[in-house]
Amino acid sequence: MWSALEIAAWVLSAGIALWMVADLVRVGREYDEDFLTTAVEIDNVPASMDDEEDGVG
Amino acid sequence: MQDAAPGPARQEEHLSLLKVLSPVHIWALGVGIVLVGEFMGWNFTVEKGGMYGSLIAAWVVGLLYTSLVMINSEITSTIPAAGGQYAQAKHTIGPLMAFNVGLYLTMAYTMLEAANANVLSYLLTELSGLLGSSEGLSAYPFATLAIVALAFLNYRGVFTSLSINFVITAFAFLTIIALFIGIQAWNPGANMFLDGLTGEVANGLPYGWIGVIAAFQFGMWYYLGIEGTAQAAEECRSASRSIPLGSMAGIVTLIIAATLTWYVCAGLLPWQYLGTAITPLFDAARVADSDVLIILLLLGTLCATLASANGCINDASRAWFSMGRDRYLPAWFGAVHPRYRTPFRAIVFLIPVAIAFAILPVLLNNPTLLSTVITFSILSGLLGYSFMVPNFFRFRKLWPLGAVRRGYVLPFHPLPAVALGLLSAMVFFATFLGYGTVLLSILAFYFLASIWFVVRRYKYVKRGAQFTAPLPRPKGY
Repeated sequence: MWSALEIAAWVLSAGIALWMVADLVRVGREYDEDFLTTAVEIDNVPASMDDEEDGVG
Repeated sequence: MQDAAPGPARQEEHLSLLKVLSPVHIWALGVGIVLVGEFMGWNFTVEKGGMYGSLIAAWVVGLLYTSLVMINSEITSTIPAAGGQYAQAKHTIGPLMAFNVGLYLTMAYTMLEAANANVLSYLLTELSGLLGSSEGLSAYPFATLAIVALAFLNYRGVFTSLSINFVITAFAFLTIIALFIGIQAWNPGANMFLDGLTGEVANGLPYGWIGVIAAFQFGMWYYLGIEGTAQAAEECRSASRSIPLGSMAGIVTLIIAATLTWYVCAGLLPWQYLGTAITPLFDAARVADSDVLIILLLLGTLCATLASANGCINDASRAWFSMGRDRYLPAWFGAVHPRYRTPFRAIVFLIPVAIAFAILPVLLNNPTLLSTVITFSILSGLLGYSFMVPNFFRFRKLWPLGAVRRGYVLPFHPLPAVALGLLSAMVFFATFLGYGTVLLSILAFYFLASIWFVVRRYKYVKRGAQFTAPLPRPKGY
């Protein structure tokens, strides 16, 4: 049983890692690099109520 | 699983990290990273300094961290940027110190995450033994799964990952309370044996005061990582409220947890055993001979380990991301996911690094490598703390009280900053006593990294990135 659990852990790890890498590559292709890497650092505008509701939901 | 992000961003907008966190999440991040130190690690103070040495270390190092949290709260509530202490150093001192602090933060949290994954696989191996398995469970797949799964959680959104951290951290904390209640610790005659703490002084302080100082190094385990609350400032709905509230509540929780942990373990386990135990709270539950407490403390240890690894992924990735955003590192790392609004490339990049440090001690069959990894993490944190002292003096000089709106004002300045400096020096000395060679190696590593930064990287740094907070022009500029 334990060796089956070990194999399951490997398979699950590989699946999750592949999903992240695939998504990372997809985002890099779909979006302009400047857009992705010029995030605003400090935005003084507080989160709107919509954001708060989204967050809680 | 996915945070309720406001849909994929349009390319004409500017991306930013999602602002959804509240004081509860900040508490969960800070306490979550640290609480594992109550379940394991703190007890090495007992080996160095005896039972009373451990208690003194808990409270003196607690003072160091209380000063640190207060200083952090004032600066971060004014400069609420991802990267925390990195962003502080960037604004107050300059690029070289900021680069060093950013590197300390990334290394400290990644190494701690690796140690957590390693411990998690050890706990699962023990669990399989308790369930009657005669096969030795391999540590690799579970350490790897823990890191990858938690990274996935962080990749998909900060709100969910820190909400989960809140639940598992609160549960782990409650298991310590449950142990306290379960053994009726308020009644020393019921289940506890406190004879070892009375009578001759040697019972509580077997190595005298030098032992107490030596214990300070491991005393950091009670609190190491609480400063990580600053990393989430950019993702708070209101950083000026959330960071001071969450961080202060966090350090209060930890001081209570440290004292309870010490007291319960001191009453249930002989100090000679306690000083070398791997899972002291779990062992205390086993001595209490209650199946419910044993299961609770095993689950508490597992939850604390997971919460710590999760918080470390959050903090290491923010530090790495913010250095990429300012071009201290390649800009590629400074990307924000257009849908989940997380620093996704920094999160993914640090996965193999953490896995390597987690499984290397097992792969090379060298358990001392794990303690080196942990020491690397502790010393990186300590270097960051000592740098916060000049940072804070400079911050007050550049933006004196009244010059900018602060979410929190540090009382009794400069006493907390002076205390932080003196106590950090004392812990450095304690570390030198135990790990002199490792300390010098780590200093050499950071020195070489600084040379690389000055010679090869500085030319790429965004010149306008030193003052990115919406603060008035600093005094004297």
